[in-house]
Amino acid sequence: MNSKKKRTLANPNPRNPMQAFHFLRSLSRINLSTAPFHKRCRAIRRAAYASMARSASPNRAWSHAVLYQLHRRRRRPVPVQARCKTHQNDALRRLLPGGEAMDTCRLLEETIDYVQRLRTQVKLMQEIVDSVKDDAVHEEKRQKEEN
Amino acid sequence: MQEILQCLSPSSSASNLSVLERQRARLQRQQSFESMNEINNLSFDNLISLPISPQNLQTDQYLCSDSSLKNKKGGSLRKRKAGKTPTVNSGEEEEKEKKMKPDDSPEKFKESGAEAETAAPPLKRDFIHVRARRGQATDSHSLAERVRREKISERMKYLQGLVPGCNKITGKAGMLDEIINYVQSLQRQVEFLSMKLATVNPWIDFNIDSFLPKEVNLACNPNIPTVSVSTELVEPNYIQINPMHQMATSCGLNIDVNFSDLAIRQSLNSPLTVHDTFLDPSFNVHSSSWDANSENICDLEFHQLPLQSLPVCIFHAAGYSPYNLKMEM
Repeated sequence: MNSKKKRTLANPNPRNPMQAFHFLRSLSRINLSTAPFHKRCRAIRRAAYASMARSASPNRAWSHAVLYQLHRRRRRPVPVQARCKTHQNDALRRLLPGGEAMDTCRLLEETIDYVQRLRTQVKLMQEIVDSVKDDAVHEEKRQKEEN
Repeated sequence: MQEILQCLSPSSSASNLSVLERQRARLQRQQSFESMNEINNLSFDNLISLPISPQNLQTDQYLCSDSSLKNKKGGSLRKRKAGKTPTVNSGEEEEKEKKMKPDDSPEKFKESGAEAETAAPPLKRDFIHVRARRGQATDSHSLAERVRREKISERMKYLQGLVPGCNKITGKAGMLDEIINYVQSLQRQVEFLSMKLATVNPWIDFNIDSFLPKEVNLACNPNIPTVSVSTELVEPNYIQINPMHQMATSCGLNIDVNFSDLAIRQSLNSPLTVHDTFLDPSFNVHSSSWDANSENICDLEFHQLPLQSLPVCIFHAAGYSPYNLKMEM
């Protein structure tokens, strides 16, 4: 368990390449389109979750739930079953896509995977934004120098 | 009269207590009145047939002897029970040489009372259960519960390592709150960054040439006839891409790094002329057919590269060192 922890901390997600790859591809496609701002916003967000889900290992329930949601164009999942007793895990279940019908043990497993992928997705997006900003700054400098 | 009644009652359940009765009869010779009381107590309290096993007989002996020392007339359930458990325990101790604390006795009695129907199996199983009893589990249900609880705690610990700033928090509830907050914050960050990406890309305009010094050293084979060696910015990336789909060795993340470069530059070149030939040496990179290229490369990559065994190529992109460093496969 310790070794697994270390490995995951060093390399947050072994499936990282696929996730980044999917996201960048869809991002490029979105940038090509000339949709208005808010639509692009939502499309990017959808692409982010789709790339997360597609790169997830196939036995993850949350990835199926996410892809199903995106496919059906539903922003929020339809509550499958109303749970009779309010459990302490309820909030987590609501957060995690597809977390409604899972026992606690599996819920925690899925949360682990989901958190890992969310983290890498955030890092990836942050990197892109930063690099664009850096390039913009450099570009401005260059233009100033030229001028 | 009372004695007769007392004698009668054990005899009614005599069929179940045959061996026990024999032993009791033996005891009766020694302590007639006391043993009768014991039998009465046993018959009243034990609605269940006592097991027939040497252990039980011995424990009963202990029980009889002990309770005989204590108040017999009262025969209070509590006392007998209180007396029983130490004797049971002591019997076990002596037999199995296990040390048991008297504090556990009420719990153990409850558990043994719960399974009182088959006294022999619990007493026989007690040897195994003795260890389990410390952790409170006696039957398969509780053992399964314990396994499940251990699984959950193991996962909580792993999550504690994942979620930053969770080292001080102990307890499931607090941890759950932290996890929920973290997941919510990550989701909010994704929303925010997607907004940012949507805004940032279109109106940033800059010259690609400024990129060159920062970008890309090739560890790959630059002998690609397709793209001429120029000082074009993105060209090194293309050089990388070509070997990527020719050589089955490349780093997945670095592919992404290059793709991200391309994506950014693509997005920055708002006048997009799509689908220029990629192989044209004099190809002006500015109008890269990014999508077409990417799709070709993607497909090839999918087919050729076993993603899980990608050796690390040495691409040094300045802004992407974190990814590079993390790429250990």
